[in-house]
Amino acid sequence: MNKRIPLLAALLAAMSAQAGNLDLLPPQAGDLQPSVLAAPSAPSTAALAAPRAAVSFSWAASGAVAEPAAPQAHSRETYFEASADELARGVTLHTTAPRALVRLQPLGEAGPREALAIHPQSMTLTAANGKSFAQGEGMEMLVAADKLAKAGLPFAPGTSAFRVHPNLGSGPLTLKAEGLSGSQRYLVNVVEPDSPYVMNMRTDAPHYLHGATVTVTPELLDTARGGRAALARVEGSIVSPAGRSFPLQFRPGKDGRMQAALPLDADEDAAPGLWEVRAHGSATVKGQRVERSIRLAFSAALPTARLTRAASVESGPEGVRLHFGVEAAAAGRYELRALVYGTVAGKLQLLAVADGAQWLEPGSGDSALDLKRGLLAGAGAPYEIRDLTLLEQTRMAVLQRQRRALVLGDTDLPRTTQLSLAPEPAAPVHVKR
Amino acid sequence: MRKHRLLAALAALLLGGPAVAGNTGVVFVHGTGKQTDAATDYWTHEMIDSVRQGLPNQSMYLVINCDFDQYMWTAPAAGCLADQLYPFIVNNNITDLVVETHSNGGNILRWVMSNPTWDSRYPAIISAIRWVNALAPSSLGTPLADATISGNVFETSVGWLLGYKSDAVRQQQTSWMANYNATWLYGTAGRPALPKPFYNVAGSDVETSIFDGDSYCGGYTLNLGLEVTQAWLDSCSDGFLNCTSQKGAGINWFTDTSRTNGAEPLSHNQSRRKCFGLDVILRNDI
Repeated sequence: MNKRIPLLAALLAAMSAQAGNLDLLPPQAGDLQPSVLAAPSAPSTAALAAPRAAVSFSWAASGAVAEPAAPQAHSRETYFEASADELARGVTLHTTAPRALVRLQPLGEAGPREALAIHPQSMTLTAANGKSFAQGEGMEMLVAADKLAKAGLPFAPGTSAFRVHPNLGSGPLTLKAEGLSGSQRYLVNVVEPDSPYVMNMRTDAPHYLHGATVTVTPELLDTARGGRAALARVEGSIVSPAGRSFPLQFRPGKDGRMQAALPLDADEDAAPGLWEVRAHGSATVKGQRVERSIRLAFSAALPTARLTRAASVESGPEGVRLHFGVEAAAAGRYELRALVYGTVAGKLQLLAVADGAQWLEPGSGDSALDLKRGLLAGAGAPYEIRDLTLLEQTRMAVLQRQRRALVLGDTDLPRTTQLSLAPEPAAPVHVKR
Repeated sequence: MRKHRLLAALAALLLGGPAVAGNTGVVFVHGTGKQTDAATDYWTHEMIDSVRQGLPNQSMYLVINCDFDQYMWTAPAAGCLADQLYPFIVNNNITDLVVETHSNGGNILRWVMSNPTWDSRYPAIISAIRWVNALAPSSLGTPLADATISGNVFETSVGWLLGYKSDAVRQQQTSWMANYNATWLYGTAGRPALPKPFYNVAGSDVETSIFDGDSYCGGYTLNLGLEVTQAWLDSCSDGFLNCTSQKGAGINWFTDTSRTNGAEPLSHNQSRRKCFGLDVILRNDI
């Protein structure tokens, strides 16, 4: 009997320090899950320069949090290029509402003469009824480059803009720049804030991994009638952060909507920024030609690490530490973040946001989330770890995201943890007036 | 101010916690651009000197000078902010920091507060913050960033990736900010709250009548440029940002006309200057 007491005490002590192994919940549809790992072909110098110190931080949170949603973009504008010769002959601006905003800028190197030629005062505008307006007539809010520069915005040198006078109405307008000739190229941007025609574009997920297929769905909405209008043609491409361009083939799907799909090759030299879909759609609605240009950013990553699905809980004087197994294919600074829910008055409620990051070498490792003492106070089991996200900081990569990751019952929390869930001392109170 | 401190001391006493031990400070964080003397060139000394009158010790202020033309997460941006802010907090024992940001400066602060494990100094900075007053923050980006970047997107020959234009402008495109807000940043609708309060102040209009003296506050020609750019924006905008973007993260403290002298709107240029009593509002907030 006497021999059993130290053994039991040791066992209890071990249990109070660390709970047994736990398993992550199975992933659900829509979760971001790497199936295989890949090391980048080119090592990232930024990754090697990343700090090695492990850092953790958690804070109290409350309220409802929305599910991650696929991104969308909206456009009431169009872009096209025209040469100096074309502008001298006259280019057509397909407008669908009065008060279109027109902006022109020279592309590449342009001399003062080329910039001056697109000053609104130098151009002629011809309305759909054939009536012409010169020297700024038919326009309002004429702006040359000097005035735009005063807004402190980095518009390209030589940029000019004007708004079509409401009296000209809508429909095809002809814009001519007198005195231009040659191959100098210009960018023409027509923005129609009052148009009922809005082009929307979305991807089918918020994040992608190397090898996954991104599906892009554009559509044209007629906000005046409250329905969709058919897009006759959509052209586009996907551009990676390093500048590689992949053409998209848009085709009508079963429901009549245009759609394009592309398997992503995300193995490239690390470059900051996002992937981007760039598309242009055309339609004819009630006899009016509608032109829309649109861009939409999304993220894609090389799956350099993933969670192993093993987890454990450890307690200490400062609070609770949640361990998660991580398998890495490349060295890097990996971050884990999650939302911590607990049961309050019988309902699951958000209690805290937890974040931890550390350097991991290739192979199996461990990533931890620390929950400060007091963050779980007032709540009981079951607890849930949600929106568990694995990121790689130096490559700005979202590697894994699981909406429901772990459920913790009373027995999963070490005894000392349950005993130490007292509130922390309150911070000084400040009142915003 | 005195009332706040009394409340804090009382709360600490009642709850058995420590009394207020450190100092109150204020820091000014500029917007997009590379600043070397933001006190002169961005905020103006009259604005800073007026606001810091609210401090118990008026020397406890800092004006950040960083390269916010870079992406918010980079060493010259958020890293530089930490380089300057962390020693200010530690050396002056600042435990109660009010942060005044303008425009993209709000995104830099939101980056730090949303990514506390990015840099080992961030937790200490976050812990010291009482709250952030984000003046006209570009939380949801701006269509004007889309417009300025589009020219480069179409101009492939100059290589738009090579820093030809500001990365910070690229970051503030609307669909880019939507992506960052959904992943790396907290505080927008449907996302978890930031670890410290983020109060936004929104500018709702630009007034540029040559006969109206108010149009001259902050610089008439600068305001004139912003009146032009309003054409790209919603009916409620400060000439650079839609009100929806300015109110897109954190808690709306106020929209300009509800608190400014004479109910004057604050253009994007005026919300960083001593215009229409904004300086006094910020002073009294400390």
